[in-house]
Amino acid sequence: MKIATVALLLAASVSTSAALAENVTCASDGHDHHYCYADTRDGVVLVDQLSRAGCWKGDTWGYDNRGIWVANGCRAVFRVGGYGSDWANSMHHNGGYDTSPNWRDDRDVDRWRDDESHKATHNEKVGAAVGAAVIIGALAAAAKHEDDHHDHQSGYRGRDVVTCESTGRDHTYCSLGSARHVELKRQLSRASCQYNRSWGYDRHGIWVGDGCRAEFWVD
Amino acid sequence: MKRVSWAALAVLLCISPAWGQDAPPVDQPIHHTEAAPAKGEADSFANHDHDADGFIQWEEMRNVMVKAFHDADHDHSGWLAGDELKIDAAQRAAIDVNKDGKLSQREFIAYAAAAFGQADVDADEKLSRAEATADLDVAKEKAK
Repeated sequence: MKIATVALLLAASVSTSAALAENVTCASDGHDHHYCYADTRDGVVLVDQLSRAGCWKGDTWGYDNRGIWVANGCRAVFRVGGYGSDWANSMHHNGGYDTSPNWRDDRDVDRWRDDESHKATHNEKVGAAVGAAVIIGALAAAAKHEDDHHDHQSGYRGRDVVTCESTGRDHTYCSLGSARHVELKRQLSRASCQYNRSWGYDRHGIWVGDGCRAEFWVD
Repeated sequence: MKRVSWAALAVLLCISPAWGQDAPPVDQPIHHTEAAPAKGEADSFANHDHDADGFIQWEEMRNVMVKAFHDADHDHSGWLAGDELKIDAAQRAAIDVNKDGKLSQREFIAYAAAAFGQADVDADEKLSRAEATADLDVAKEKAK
């Protein structure tokens, strides 16, 4: 009887856990960390990035056993209690290219990869590639036009790239004229660069430490 | 199932705005040198390789696409329309999956995700340089 009860409780627990898959929106304003309590026992994946500010796992978002944290302007929708990778879940969440109603884990992704029906012919590949080139080129031109409109002097509004390097445990401060938003563009060091731990910024510059070396976008 | 080319991603990686490539020197002194402008295919790949591990992960692709979308969305409507994106009807239709006549960020991300999935031929959920650029030469020829 006791064994049966335990088994039932376990089954209920598993069932409950599986049924708890839900989306949580978590948003950081400005520099701040923000914490969103959630049941993260089955992991967390980012399904929809809402902010222009980057959402980088381990740098500007992450989770622990109590919830999800976001930082430095990252705003996103996260799926808790689900399965699969960020990519698979992004594709499913954003829709359009996935017609499988039950696609929620990596086994479904594998099936999709094996499905010949969606694979393009060579000509279609080239056609889509050219189409994407035009689209992205148009995006770039549009963004550049907007930048020119706002700042004729530099012809480029924000997004300077600054390299800032720490050679040891000591912090290094890289002075800037002004900085509204700074984002890690590319890590150059083997040592991890993590926001507010091994790098950060204020209105006048960027600091790095613990061996973090990186290029940063500065707005 | 919609068909999206993995080669689209290759072109995207090499032609996207590549934030910072055109950035002028900052006015104030900084600790270290200004990043040298990245030119050409090889540097463009590296330019998007956020963690410098030699691969493009979906996270890196997603951030590129989201930034491009936000920068083009001048009126902050959440959609790209009119002069915000000059593409022809066929290209627009390829992205406008729900056929509502508006191009949303989610549609762009879905388009990129599908391209990413097809580019990732070894299914390791990251793109090597070879995977990301395999059809680039063909695409460039076609674009001339």
